Amino acid sequence: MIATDATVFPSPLGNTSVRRMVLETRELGFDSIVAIGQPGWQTGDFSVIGGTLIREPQMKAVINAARTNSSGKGLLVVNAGNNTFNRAIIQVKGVHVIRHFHKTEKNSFDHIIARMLAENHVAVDIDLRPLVLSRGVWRQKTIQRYKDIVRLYERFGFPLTLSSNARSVLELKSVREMVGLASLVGIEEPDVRVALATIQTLLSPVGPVQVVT
Amino acid sequence: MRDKKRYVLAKITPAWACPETKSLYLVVQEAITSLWGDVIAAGIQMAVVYGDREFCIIRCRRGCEDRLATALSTVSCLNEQGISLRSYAVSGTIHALKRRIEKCRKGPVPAAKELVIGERTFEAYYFPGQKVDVLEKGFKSRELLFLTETDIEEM
Repeated sequence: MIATDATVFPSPLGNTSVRRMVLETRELGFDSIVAIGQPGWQTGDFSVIGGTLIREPQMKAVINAARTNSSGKGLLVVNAGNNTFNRAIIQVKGVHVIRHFHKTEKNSFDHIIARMLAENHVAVDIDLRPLVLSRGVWRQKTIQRYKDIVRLYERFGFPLTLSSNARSVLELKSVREMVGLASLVGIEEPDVRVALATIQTLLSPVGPVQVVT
Repeated sequence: MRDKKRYVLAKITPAWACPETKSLYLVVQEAITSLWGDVIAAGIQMAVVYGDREFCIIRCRRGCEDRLATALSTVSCLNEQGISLRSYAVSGTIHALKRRIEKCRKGPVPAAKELVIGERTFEAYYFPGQKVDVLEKGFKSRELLFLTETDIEEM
């Protein structure tokens, strides 16, 4: 996989069918999408990865979802909460991505969490939707929070993903647009390319060689 | 003093939205100003020089085309109608971009056909590549769906 949009919401969560999302994202330069609430499937050289999103900051819900997704074929995405919650979910086996740090308190993401993310190979998602839709102070705060994340990303090297978080065809972004929007928060183009390819490494991580007897 | 210019070709989605050039100018100017601030917006010297139903050409000062393209991707709404402007190409002449439009255009924008789903009536725009935009008929809170021909057959 070269480029994956890390979160899209096809119908019934959005107003666009998953087939239409596939047609449009293919034209925009992607070869896979993570579709929340959809099963995974493949059409030609394009992959739809099924995604599960846990919105409520409750450990029980995260553990249940990780257990349900134990096959590891789908992507488990969790909305960030406070610092304690974030530290706890990073250690849950099966959690792939944590997102929406910009909606949490400022101390919910620190260097300890950044190190834990790198050690447990859990990604932070940079949601580009608030950069597009919000204006003024709210966008400024989002940019500031994303810049804090990027600063720790450069230091600790935890996985990063980029998502349009699109609920409609109109909200989808091309790879080139993502490069432009990511530059607003200090992510350079090579890092954007790496971030767009991160989903594949999350789903099939490279582990130590096992000797089978 | 006369500055060198660059022209950015942007695709308007959905194609049936038919925005006026002046509305496009206002929405792009707002996007540039809110993203980059007044000082940089003044330096970009943006102007919409061409617009049809599917494409528009936007002029800016040379060196500012990346900033303009980023601002274009933050346009999400025009006259309370969802819209997206995707930058396609950059050139030094309008003529080159008009030739590019002819290459990119996949035929005329289709006329609306009536489609009944359940008890509701929709206007359906069938585009090449199996794409169908479905817009509910009515005056208030018209539902908009982006589907494919296969989705409609399965309904």
